[in-house]
Formats: sequence, C-alpha cells, structure tokens
Amino acid sequence: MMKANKNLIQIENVSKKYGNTFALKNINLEIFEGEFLCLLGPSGCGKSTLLRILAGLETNYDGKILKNGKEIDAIEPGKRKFGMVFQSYSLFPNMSVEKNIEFALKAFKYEKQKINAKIESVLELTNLLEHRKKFPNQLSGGQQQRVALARAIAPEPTVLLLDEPLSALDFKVREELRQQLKKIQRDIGVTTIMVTHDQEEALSLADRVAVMNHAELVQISTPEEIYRNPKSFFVANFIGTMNNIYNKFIRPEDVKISDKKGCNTHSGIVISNEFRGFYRRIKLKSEIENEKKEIIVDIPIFHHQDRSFNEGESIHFNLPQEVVSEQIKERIC
Amino acid sequence: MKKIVFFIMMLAFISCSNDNQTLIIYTALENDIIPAYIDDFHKNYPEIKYKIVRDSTGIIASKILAEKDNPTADVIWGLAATSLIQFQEQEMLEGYAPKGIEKIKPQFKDNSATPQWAGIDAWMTAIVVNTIELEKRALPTPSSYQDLLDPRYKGLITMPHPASSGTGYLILYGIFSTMGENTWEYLKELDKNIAEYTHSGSKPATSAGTGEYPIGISFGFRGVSLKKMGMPVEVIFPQEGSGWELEANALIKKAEIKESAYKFLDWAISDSAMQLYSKNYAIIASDIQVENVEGFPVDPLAQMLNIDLKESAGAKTTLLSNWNSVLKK
Amino acid sequence: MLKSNFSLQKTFLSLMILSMFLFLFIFIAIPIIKLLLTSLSDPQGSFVGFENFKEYFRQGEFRTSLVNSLIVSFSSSIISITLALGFAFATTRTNIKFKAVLKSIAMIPLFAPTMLYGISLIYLFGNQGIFTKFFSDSFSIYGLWGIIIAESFYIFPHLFLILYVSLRSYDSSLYEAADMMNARGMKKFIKITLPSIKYGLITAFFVGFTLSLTDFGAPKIIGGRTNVLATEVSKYILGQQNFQIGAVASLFLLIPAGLSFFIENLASKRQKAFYSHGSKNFELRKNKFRFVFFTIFAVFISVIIIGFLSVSIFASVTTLWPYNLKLTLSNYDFSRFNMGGFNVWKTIIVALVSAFFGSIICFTNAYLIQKEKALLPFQKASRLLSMIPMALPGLVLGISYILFFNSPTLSIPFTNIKIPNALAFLYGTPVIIVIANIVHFYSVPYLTSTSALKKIDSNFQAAAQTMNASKLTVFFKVFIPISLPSLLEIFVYFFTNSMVTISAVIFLYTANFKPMSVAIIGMEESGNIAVAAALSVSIVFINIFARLIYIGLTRLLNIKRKKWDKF
Repeated sequence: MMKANKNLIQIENVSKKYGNTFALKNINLEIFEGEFLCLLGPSGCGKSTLLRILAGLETNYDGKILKNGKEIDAIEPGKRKFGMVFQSYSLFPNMSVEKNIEFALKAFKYEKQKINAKIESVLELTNLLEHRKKFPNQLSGGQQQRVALARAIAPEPTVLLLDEPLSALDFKVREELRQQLKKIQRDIGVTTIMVTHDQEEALSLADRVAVMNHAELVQISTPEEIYRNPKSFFVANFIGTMNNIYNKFIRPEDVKISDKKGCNTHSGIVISNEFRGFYRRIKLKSEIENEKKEIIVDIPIFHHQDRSFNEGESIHFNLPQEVVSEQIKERIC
Repeated sequence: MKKIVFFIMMLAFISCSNDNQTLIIYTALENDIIPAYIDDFHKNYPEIKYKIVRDSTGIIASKILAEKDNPTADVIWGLAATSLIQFQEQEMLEGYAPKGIEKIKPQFKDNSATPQWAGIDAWMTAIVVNTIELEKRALPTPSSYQDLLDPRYKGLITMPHPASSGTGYLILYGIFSTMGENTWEYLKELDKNIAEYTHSGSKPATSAGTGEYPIGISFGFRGVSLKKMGMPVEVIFPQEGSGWELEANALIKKAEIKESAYKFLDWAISDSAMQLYSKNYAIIASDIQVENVEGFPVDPLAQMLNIDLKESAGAKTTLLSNWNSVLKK
Repeated sequence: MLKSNFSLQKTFLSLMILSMFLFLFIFIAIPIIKLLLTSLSDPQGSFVGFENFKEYFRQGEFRTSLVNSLIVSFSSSIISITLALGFAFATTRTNIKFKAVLKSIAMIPLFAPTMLYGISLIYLFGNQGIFTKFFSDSFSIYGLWGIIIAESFYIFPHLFLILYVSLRSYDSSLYEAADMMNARGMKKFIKITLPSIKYGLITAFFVGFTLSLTDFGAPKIIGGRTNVLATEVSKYILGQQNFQIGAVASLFLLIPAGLSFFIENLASKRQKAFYSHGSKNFELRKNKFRFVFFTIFAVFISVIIIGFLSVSIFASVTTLWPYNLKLTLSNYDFSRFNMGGFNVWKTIIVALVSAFFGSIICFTNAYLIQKEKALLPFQKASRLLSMIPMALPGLVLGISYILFFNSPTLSIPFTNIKIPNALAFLYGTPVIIVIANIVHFYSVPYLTSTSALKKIDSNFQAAAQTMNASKLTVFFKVFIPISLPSLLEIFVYFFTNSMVTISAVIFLYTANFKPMSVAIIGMEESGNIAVAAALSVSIVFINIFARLIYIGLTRLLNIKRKKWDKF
C-alpha cells in the first residue's frame, strides 16, 4: 500500500454544471504519490469529467485542483505533464508506432539524442519492440492500447490518466492487459488515475477505489474495504451483487443452502437457476421481509452436487450469524 | 519546389490585377474589329498604358451602372448612346469636348454646352435572310416590314426581345416611329410569324446565317459580317426605313480623371480613327469623306429614320409596358 | 470561480472561428442582404417598400415563367434521377465491365460549360440538325423540351455522384435476410434498395431542382419562346439595367431554392439513423439478366454523353456549319481574340488559385465547425451559412457582389449612417473572382470535408493537448495528412467548376483578365459558333487533364497510404 506516501494531487470542492444539471458536485479527493486510484461508477456519474478536469481538458468548473500544494487550474494540459490514455486509443493513424511516441516526445521538447533511447525503453516495457515500424491499423486492439500507453508514459508524466482504457477490448485481452498495466505501473511507479465502470477491473488494479454516483463521490477506500464494508446499498450493489435484508447487506456467497429445516433456517422457492462456471447463482422467493422478497444465493459448483435446484423447488437456507437480526431469529426459532 | 510553383502562381495571379496608371476602357465594340483600331491609338500615343474591357452592350451597361458609386472605367468607347443617355440622366458622365468635335454631325452628339458624349458610328436595323433556306422553301425575299406579315413566313422569323436587348428596343422604336399607333396592330400580326424573341441582338442574324431560322430582324453590321464569314445571307434594309443606334464615347465622372482619358477621347473621334471605323460601318459620325461599305445602302443616311435618341430613350418604359400588354398571352 | 485557461491557444482558436464566420458572413450573407435592400429601393437608393414587387407582377411575365421554371426543374430532376439511378446502380451493384471508365464518362458533363449542351443540341436536333430530318415538320427542339433535355444533361453527373455514394455501401445482411425469405429482385429493389437510399434520392432531387432552376445558359440558347425565371432575371439586369426589378426576380429564384434547402436539411436529420449501423460492402452475385440489361443501359447512356461531346468537337473543327463542312483547326487559334479578350493560362491560374484557397478555407472551416468548441453560436451560424451557396444562383451572386463591393460607402438600412466599405478595394481585382468562385461552389466541398472529418477520432486534439502539442501541429500533422484524398477531391471540384462557370464571373471579370468560359458567350453571340465550340471543348479537355492528374495523384497517394488507411 502506498498510503504512507505524501499527497500529490488535491481536488478541492470541484463542481461542474452542464446547464442545470450537475456533472460533478463538491468533489473532494486526495491522491497520493505513486498510488493507483480507480474512479469507479456507472456511466454518466461524472467520473470521466473529473478525469478530463484533472487533465486540463475541461475548463469552467468551480473549485480547485492542487498539485504539490499549488493550484494548477490555469495551467495548460500539456504543461501539467500528465499522460493520458483514451478508450478509443486515439493513436494517429498516419504515424507508425515509433512515430506516435516520437510525436509526444518532440512535443515535450525532448533532446534529440535522447528520443531514440526513450522510444526503445518504453517499447520494451510494453512488449512492442517488434511492432515499432507498424501502423496502428496493422495492430490488434490490445496492441494498439499498449502503444497508447507507451505514448503516454514515454514523456515520464507525473500522473498517468486512463480513461476506460480496457473497455473496448475482448475479455481475454482485457484480462491480460490488466496484469501488464499493473506491472508497468509498479515498475515505473507513476501515480495513476483510472476511470472505469467495471468493478472487477477496479478491485483487481487499484490501491484505492473512489466510487461515484450521480455526480458525487460516495465512498473511497481500499478494494477490500469497499467490498466488505460498503457504505451504501448503491456501493454494495455496484461492487458485485448484494442482498439487502432488513437493511443489512449480505453477499450472495454468504447465504448458505441447508439440507433440512432447522434453527435459523429460512425457506424459499427457486425462481431461477444460472450456471456460472465455478458457481451457480440461484434466485429465491422468500417471505423473510415481505411476501415477495427475492434473495440471491451463490453456491460453489462443488457443493450440493447431488441437488438440482429446479424452478419451483422449495429449499432452505441460512443467513450469516452476525447479520441476522433479533427480529428474524425470534420469528424462526 | 512546391514553394516555387506557388510563388509563380501568385505572381501570375497578381498580373491579373490592374494598376493605377492604366487607362481602363469599357467598350461594346466587336471583338474582332477592336485590334485594328487600337493599334492606331497605340501608334499615336505609345506611352499610354491601357486595358480594354469588352462585352456585349447589356453586360457593359450593367457593369457601368452597377459600378456607379465607384467607377472602374475611365472612358466609355463605342457604347449604345441610349445607354449613355441613361448614364447622363443619372449624372454619371463628365462633359468634355474632344478635339475635332465640330466635325461630328449634330444628330450624332450630345447637344449640351459641353457635350457629354460624342458618336463614332451608327448602325441600323436590317432584316437578315438566308438565301439557301428561302430558296429551298421557294419563298420570296422580304423587302419591308410589311412583307414579313406574309403567313408563309410563319415560324421562320426571329427578332430580339425589346426588353432583353438594346437592338430589340431599337427595332421596336424604329417601327413605332414609322407606324405610330398602328405599331401594336402590326406587332400582333407579326407575332404570329415569330418563332422566337431572342435575348441577344445578334442572335436573329446568326440564326439566319446557320439557317436555324431563315429570317432574322437584327442589325446591318452583324448581317454583313456573317456574309463576310461566308454564310449564305442577304442583308435587307426595310423599305420603311431603319431604326438606328449611335455608338458613342463618354468620359466617366470620377474623383481623379486621368490625362490619358482626354487623349483617348480626342483620338477616338480623330480623322484617322474615323477612317478605320468607316471600314466596318456604313455610317460614321463625323462628316469626313469616306468610302462606301460593301453590303450597305449607297446613301445610308437616307435609309435612317428621323429619330431623336433622347426621345427614344425617354419612351422606353412606356413602349415596353405596351409591348408586354399587347403580346402577353 | 470561473476558469478561463490557456489564453493563447484559446484566443487563437476563437479568432480563427470568428474570422471564418466573418468570411462567410461578408461573402454570403451581406451580398444577399444587399440584394434584398436593392429590391426595396429605387435606383437612387431610397426605400420604396414593395413598389418594385408590384411593378414586377404587373409587367413581367412572372406567372408563365414561374410555371415554366417549375415544369423544367421538376421534369429534368425526375428524368435525370431515373437515369442517374440506373447508371449508379449499374456501376455499384452489378458485374458489368469497365466500371471505372463508365464512371469517368458519367462525369464528362461536369467538365463542360452549359453552352456546350446547347450547341450540341442545336447541331443534333435544331432546325438544321443532323437528326431533325427524321422527325415530323412540327418538331422543334426550341422550347420546354429543349430546356428540359439540356438541364437533365447538366445535372446528370451531380445526381450520379450523390446516388453513387449512397448505393456504394450498405448493410448486406438486409439482402441476405431477403434472400432467406426468397424475395425477388424487383421486390428487393423496391423494399430494400430504394428505402436505403431515400436520403440520397431526396438530396439528388433538390440538388437537381436547384441547379436547373437557377441555370440561365441553357434556356437562353435553346429556350425559344419559353421564358423561365432565370431568363427573366437576365432580361431585367442585362437587357434593361433595371437592378431593382432584377433583384425582385432574383429573390423569387431564391425562394424555391431556399425551401429545398430546408426540406433537405430535414431529410438529412431523419436519415442519420440509417448510416449509423455498420454498413458493410456488398458481395455481388452473378445474374445474367441483370448483367445484360445494365450493360446495354450503361453503354446507351455513355454513347449519348460521348455523342454530345463529339458533336461539339465536330462543331469546333468545321469551317462553316451547316453549309461548309470542310474540317479546319483554325477555330482553335485563340490568339486572334487576345485583344481585350481572354487568356488560357490566366484562366487556368485563376482556377488553380480558386481551388487552392477554396480547399483551404472550406476544409479549415469544416474542421472548426466539426471538431472544435470555442464560440458555439458562431460555429452554428457558420454551419448554416455554409449551406446557403447551394441555393444561390450564380447570376444573383455576381450582381450582388457588384452592388456590394463596388459601393465605397455602405449605408445601414433605415438609418442615415454611412460607413466606408473596407472591402471596396477588392473590386476590379481577380481576388473578387476567386472569392466568387469559392463562395459559389462552397457547399459541396464543405459537405465532403465534413464527412471526411466525421470519420476522424474526436479525441485526437484532447490526446495531443495532454502531450503538449499545439492544435495547429495536430491539424497539420494529423488531420491534413489523413484527409488528403478528400482535400484533393475538393481541389479538383473547385478547379473544374471555376473553369466552366459563367454566370457569376460574367459581371466580375477585370480589364486584365477574362476567363475562357465568359468568352464563349461573346463568340456564340457574334455567330462564331465554331469558336465557341472550340473554347468549350478546350475547357472540357483541360478538365479531363486535371482529372487524370487527380486520378494519378490519388493512386500514388493510395500506394503510400495503403499501410495505414482503412477508409
């Protein structure tokens, strides 16, 4: 964890409006040097706007952005020296891989003799050495995104901004690139802020996750903390799936199927049964809170292999001890 | 390389502009006869740089009128006097009596104390007929306006539209000055034979030349020059007499009048210029002795109707609106 | 707190947007305003209300010419669309041979001044025409039919290009689905093909309608006794120098053209959804009937087009048609008309300059409107202004340019305030001809640039900004290289049109420069039809030559770009 590091970026009371609607509302956030921060939220929550404000691409907002304690609001995007990667890669199609990188280095006025060495080193870092002469159109999506990354980190930015960099890619490639991205970030130690709507991506990559909803920052914490102790049902449900039973959040994997009726067991009727590879997701209709309460249960695939869980079947389950309220206990036992 | 090409291109482009010393002459004289005239001017005034803008009467007159507030032209050379009278009324001309103005016949120049325009030549309406086509159809050659009413000529005659072409109006006014109030009756009858009212004054003659429409009411000069080109045409000056128009010169009123403009106007009515004009036109404005032009009447002045150009210009609006109401379908 | 960052870049960008808007406003909007004011004033410039309108209705042949204009524009649009659709279908959706050649042939009418169709039509079907003896005596090409045929010719390549583009790519899955349902050819055409090119058809109709409505070259030569609105305008302006009523008549030309512009705009909005699905290329299957039918059709149209051109070539080399058909090349000796006349090289230079600046202005403007966000109201206004020239007749443009640029002072309407006209110095220079050419042919290249730019990722500028690269660098190093093929296309379009145009420049040419195209009118009028034909044919060949250079350059470019260009 990088928490011990000093604070690099400070976002103070940032708000932005489009017409009468808020795109961002009073955002306060600190970003520490060297950390990997994910801005997570559904589309339209304002996370990309926040990233563009950090990059200096959006102007006319209220509040302040500080870097090392100094306001940077009036500084041009290029002068901030933040590298940025876009979802659509935004590689210049008329330039080869190395020319794309050279373009960035030249724009940052790198000395000529250093340019080649730098290109060489970022291509090596991103595993692209053999593709240096190719044009973006001749590369796969994953390779293109690596070029975009190489182009962004080549000028040694103080902060790397990633705007949904993986979401246009296939599942497999995404997974692979995720690991590479993490490794590269560790290797060069650049402070990284990534926008994503994919919770799995956020949890697996980030040192800290900032969850946003409706233009507001709703929770910021480590991935584990966010998963285990969501502050609201929205966060809970956005980070994976969550049951809400008498205002207690219960993860589907924490609901256990019981073979027979007993103390603390509840009954329900199966309404759907989905096979999901290493687990099985079952939706139940139960009468716990009201007559139509739906409860989601995830069963590891090697449990209860003898049972079929057909639709309409009546089954029994246990809720975790620590979350079951007095209310439920009294009623059942 | 690219830069050189671009540079040359821009240089050539700039050469399309005018500079300030150059004398700008607007004229409606015919393209093919201008060179012979202007060579003579150049011989007399080799130091004067000039540029000529030449187009049909309608376009030149429109240009001058549209440029009224900020004239480009310095002098007008050989433009229909009817147009010049229009400019005169709008106070666009500057009076100037060129050297030798006394030699210009009185009906061919402006009668103001300092004349605002002076004529160089006159041209008159004529009927141009295609001899081959008439022969093919075994039709007689018409010799008067009255002859044109012959129903056998139905669909064979064209004439310029008086609202579209100066020549067209000239023909209308010519007819009006001989026939008076009977004009409208006559035109109604003539209309039955007319295939097309053209937008240009020359078109009826050229149509006759190529045989598209064997009979064209147009003007003498065009017919004669088509004949010289080898077209099978006969130029007939109607017995009733011809309407005519003067081609005249004038000085444009502007803040800075160039010295060369006066010199040009002097030359433009000089004897040597008149001699050159007389090679193409039967009637020249000055009273010097010239040779008769082939294809025109021996005494061209007698063929000309007694027309006052200012009256003709003044009657235009009324006559055109009468024309419209008579021939409207 | 309001942040207005990076003042230099932003100021420059705003300045560019503002100056582009000013260019369009001054050269498109003000002349039209001037025209409007002229229609409401007397010759001395005092306001007279609708007097000129009343006068026009009273004495002009307003009603007949309006009806004729509508008939001509409607019929020629319909005829030409039908033929152009067939030809475009043949060159995109069938297996006929020599498609590239056929496509080039379809473009030929674009390379010729309208006078050429007039001359060819008269040589073929005039009273002395080559084919006329095969018709009955009452047959005459002069009149409505003549105009309709000539206009259909004139608008054919424009409509062909529009329909060609709409037919070229589309969703083949629709046809596969139809095949699964065992649909017949004709049914597929009506149910799938026609609806899918609906927007193309509507655009084609209005482009054809506007072009044929505003052209006065063809009606002047072949109209006979038939008056149309465009000849009315020329009658008042050229025949009587009555600018006030001429302005009134011009305004009537603008109304239907303006209307078509709005309807078209509406149609294009509704069409958007159609393109957003990924259009795939079509795999052509063998179909013998289709092959034979469209081969015959395409050859037929090509023969007509080449026939027309050949007739004009023939006209240009005959001594004295129709009486002396001895061949001669003397009509191509233009040097004898140099005095106060035209100059071939200068004509080409001015066309090149028009094309050069036209392409730059058009592309830059399309870029600023499409890809930047700085002064939104001005960007919107520029977008609107960019579409107006399409509906603007050249004759009207020329006259309003004279009226506007020649006044040393400008009076502000309904006040007595007069301000000096800072642009008056342009008058009488070839600059004004270049500007007239750029404005006159502005809309189509603007649309071409816009569609080329739409294909380019809109994050390029943002990406480059974070890389400390200026917008200018990105514009020159990325946007221009990517759009080079479209830029070339625009360049040739401006060049070709500047070579053939007559209507606007006839009022604007200078003492030092007269374009070849304008000289044609004088030649035709004085009976030198062979010389007029020779001039027209020369223009056609200059344009074909330019086209060949264009094709060559495009090939070269494509070889270079093959590696990275996916479009």
